[in-house]
Amino acid sequence: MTDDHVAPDPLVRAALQLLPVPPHEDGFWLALGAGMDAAPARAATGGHRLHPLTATVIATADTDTTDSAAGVSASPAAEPREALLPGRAIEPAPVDLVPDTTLALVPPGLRRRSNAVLSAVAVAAAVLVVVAGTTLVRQRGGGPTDVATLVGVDADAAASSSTTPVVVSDPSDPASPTGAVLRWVAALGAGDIDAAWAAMAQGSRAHFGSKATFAEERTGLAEGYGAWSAAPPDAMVVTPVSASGDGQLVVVTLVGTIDQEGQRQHRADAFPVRIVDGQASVEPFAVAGELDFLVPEDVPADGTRPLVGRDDELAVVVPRGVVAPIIRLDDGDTLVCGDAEGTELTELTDAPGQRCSYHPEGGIEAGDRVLTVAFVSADGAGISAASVVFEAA
Amino acid sequence: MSSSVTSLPDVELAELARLGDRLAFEALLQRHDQRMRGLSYRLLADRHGMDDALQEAYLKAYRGLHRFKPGSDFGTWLYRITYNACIDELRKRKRSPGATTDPIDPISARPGPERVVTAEETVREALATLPVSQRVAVVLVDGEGFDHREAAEILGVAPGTVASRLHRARAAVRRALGEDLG
Repeated sequence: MTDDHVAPDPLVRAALQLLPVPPHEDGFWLALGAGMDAAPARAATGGHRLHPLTATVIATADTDTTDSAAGVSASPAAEPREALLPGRAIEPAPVDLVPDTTLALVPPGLRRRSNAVLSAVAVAAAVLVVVAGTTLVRQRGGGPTDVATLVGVDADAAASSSTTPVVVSDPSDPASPTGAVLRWVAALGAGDIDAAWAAMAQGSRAHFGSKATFAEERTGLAEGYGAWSAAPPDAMVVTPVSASGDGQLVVVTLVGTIDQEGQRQHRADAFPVRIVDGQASVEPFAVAGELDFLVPEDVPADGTRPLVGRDDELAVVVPRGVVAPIIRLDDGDTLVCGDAEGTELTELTDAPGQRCSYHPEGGIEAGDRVLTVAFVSADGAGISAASVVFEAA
Repeated sequence: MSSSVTSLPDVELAELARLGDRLAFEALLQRHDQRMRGLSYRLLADRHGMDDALQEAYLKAYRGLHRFKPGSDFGTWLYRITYNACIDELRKRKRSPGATTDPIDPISARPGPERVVTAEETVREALATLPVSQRVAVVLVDGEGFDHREAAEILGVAPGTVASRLHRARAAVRRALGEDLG
């Protein structure tokens, strides 16, 4: 989509200007101050110092006279300074920023995670992901299996029933997609760019162009994908997407509670994995196009979103021209959208794209659910995948 | 060196706040509060809910300051936390007995043939037709003036996703405005 589609819309903009923005109710700032007093912030222990070590910070009157708010109370550490009180002049007071010599300035990228944590992840993975076995869900065109689902059964059973085994139960096996994902997030979490780069498939490396460019994203990657390295996920689901002479593409969905952007979030993230010649490599950046969740709504970060009703239809938007996107609820059947019973794939009339909808037979059971959607580009070089956690009423 | 809180740029205030200076954090809140109110009120359409969401958002930001990445944009970070708090607020409402499916009260649901539809109500009605993910896209881009890449960063989604949502949201808003005003 070009920028022409996203330039400001004057009509909508003018309409939004008609909505007033009300001031806070009385007591808002006092309540906030009390909340801050009750739960003081944790001071950071590192980072770039952008200010002289000792400064005089002067709180001045706020100019927002539309707000009738009272002031935020001063922190104990700042006594006897006044807090910022809208509409009130405040005496200047010094703020001591004497460095605490016990706090080392260690760049985040150099802080390696404990091996014990990573070992725990690997062990937990071995326990959690007793994945295996491909269960035929659909055969398209009467040909060999090209879309299958892996269900969480024991490894022995899987080995005996599998026709195209793509997953092994031991994450340390180089062919294990879950192992590839866990190794990759562990490397990102530890700031080990070499290991993270080595764990990626060619398409994702090509996205960055060079390891140096990839390394520039070290911090963001560590805080994003790397957040999964801090603790074992609650569950992992492996969804095969396609198989060809060039190998197999699967999606590993990690489900769990992680800390991102200062918030604890229960979420699910999808990690495409390419398996070639017995070697699994993550392929998160060779995207085949945009995916947009309609139901459940695609709400980021903390994973909370409006409830989905039992009889609601799950729906996503995939790019125009995408063939056979797959959709999967929890670890249920992997369905080809538009082909499988209960699904539809229709062209949007008022926007570019196709709507893939899925109405599970019998409705959506109440509770926390995970929806995974994926599709592959026509040449097999790109794969897009996404998973979301949502709550069904 | 002496300075005024209100004259320091965000990046310096944020660093001071991150290192434990509460006044710096309060100054940042004062600076960004009106825009956060704009976002939350347009998403929630309710002053009380707006305050609840912002209390939660500001406290989360305060408690999470140590995780704020030095040098990054404080406003973007706060927008994201505020948006998440609004989603939490919507979720709470849907769990409440008797709650409607959308906090924005549709005009069409109000009784009385004599009601007068104001332009403000028409816009509220138009927004009410949108899912939250689309509503926030138009609020951020058309209401707050972000470009779609900045909005994507706030929402934690791909720019193309925001563009797609904008496209659908604007079409729906235009239809709704046309029906009510036209």
